[in-house]
Amino acid sequence: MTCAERRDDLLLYAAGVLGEDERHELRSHLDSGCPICAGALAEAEVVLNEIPRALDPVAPSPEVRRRLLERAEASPRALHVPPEAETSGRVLAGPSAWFRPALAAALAAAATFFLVVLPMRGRLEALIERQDVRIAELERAGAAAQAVVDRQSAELEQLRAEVAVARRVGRVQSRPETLVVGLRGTEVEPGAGARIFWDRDAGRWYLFVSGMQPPAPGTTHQLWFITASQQKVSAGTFTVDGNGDGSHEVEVPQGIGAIAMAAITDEPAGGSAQPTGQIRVAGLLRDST
Amino acid sequence: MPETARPAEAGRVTRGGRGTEAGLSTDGQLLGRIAAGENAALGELYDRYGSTLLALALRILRRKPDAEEVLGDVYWELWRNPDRFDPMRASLVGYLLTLTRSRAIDRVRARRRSEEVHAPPVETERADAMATDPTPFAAALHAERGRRIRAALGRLNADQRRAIELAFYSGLTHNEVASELGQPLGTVKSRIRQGLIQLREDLRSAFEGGVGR
Repeated sequence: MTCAERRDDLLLYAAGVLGEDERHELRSHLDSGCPICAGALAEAEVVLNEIPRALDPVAPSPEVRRRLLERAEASPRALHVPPEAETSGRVLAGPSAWFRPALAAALAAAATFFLVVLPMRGRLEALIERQDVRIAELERAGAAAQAVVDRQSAELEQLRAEVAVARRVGRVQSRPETLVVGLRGTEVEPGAGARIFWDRDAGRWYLFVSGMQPPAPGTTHQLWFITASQQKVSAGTFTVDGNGDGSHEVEVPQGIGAIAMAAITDEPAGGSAQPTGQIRVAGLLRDST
Repeated sequence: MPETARPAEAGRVTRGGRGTEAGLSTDGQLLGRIAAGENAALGELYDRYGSTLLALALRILRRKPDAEEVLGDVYWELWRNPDRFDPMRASLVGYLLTLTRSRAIDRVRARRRSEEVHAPPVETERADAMATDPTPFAAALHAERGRRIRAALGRLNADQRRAIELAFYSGLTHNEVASELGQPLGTVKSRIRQGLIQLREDLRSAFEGGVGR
């Protein structure tokens, strides 16, 4: 199942009407950190939260408000006292109370050192040498494991970043300041599509593409701002996964002027200063000021 | 032709939630004051959304005392745990609506288990209805929003609308909705799915600036 197909199921997921198996499948996929589906879920929740807005508002009885506020007044949230504060409070309260037991403990420790630890010193040193060898072995194994953990942590960070972008998109999507631009595949790639969420307050574009062929070896997908005066300004390079899905975030350059169009081309790896490939996906911006 | 559109649901006042008109706190500001333990802010937020949330709870529970209890629980939960609201996931009112629906459905399911009967038809409470929006402008926006969603629901066919309403407001699963409607499960699933997809597209058009509508 592709993310495009999951988008409709996510409506049913958010409505809570899916069966257990379907719900579990989607939950697992969402837990994997897919940014496309995280965005689709946010969109579904926005849609579902609109449904009750069709109802006529009903004024609650005045007692409900009164009871709530009385309860809040009587039960402020508990303040947590840090354990350190409690400990330091005890120490400051009675230094003389712990002095004698502490002195006794120190004398006992000293006696143990001279009577027991010194005679065992040779045996302990041999034991420590063996332990050093063992520690060196463990360190080597640990370094290999650490490399795996580092790699997985980097992947996790990447997924977290993608989820964060998708959540931001879900959030900005309902703002009046946000423009939503649909892009369609040209005859070069008719199966592709994309959507840009333009957070005009933050001056950022969030691009989500689907159904795009991965770029050929040695090339990359590149997004372009195309102004009303036909200037083409690079909006950065990106790639897509095996399903043809991908995302990209870019800051809109200040002073670029009115943007008339967004387009995606394939360019040599690293990107081009000006487009050299055919336009694969494009969309017009009707209100870009 | 690719679309370019702008969500336009609440004109110029919804950034950061309701209440950026002169003298009113935004939802975010209210939440901050609630987190600081200021119960006056809780009262202000209650006045802002209480009637919307009660309408939802009443539609699900059909008994006003039960619905008001859920309403109180929802605000109490916000008071006790304001940090559970994640602004990256939803608006504050969206979070409150989700919480209300969830609590009301839990209650109706528990009631169904204990009574083994379905609730009677909705008791209409329009006589109680009144706008509690803080300003005439906010009230007009609220009314416009309600008009748009009612229009979008009205454009669904009757079977789709019935199936969605049963699923959304009754807390019934696919299987239970099918049983309630006396229709095959596949038919009901398809109606709910198609209806929600149409609603999504319809609402997107409305919020993105009314392309063609």
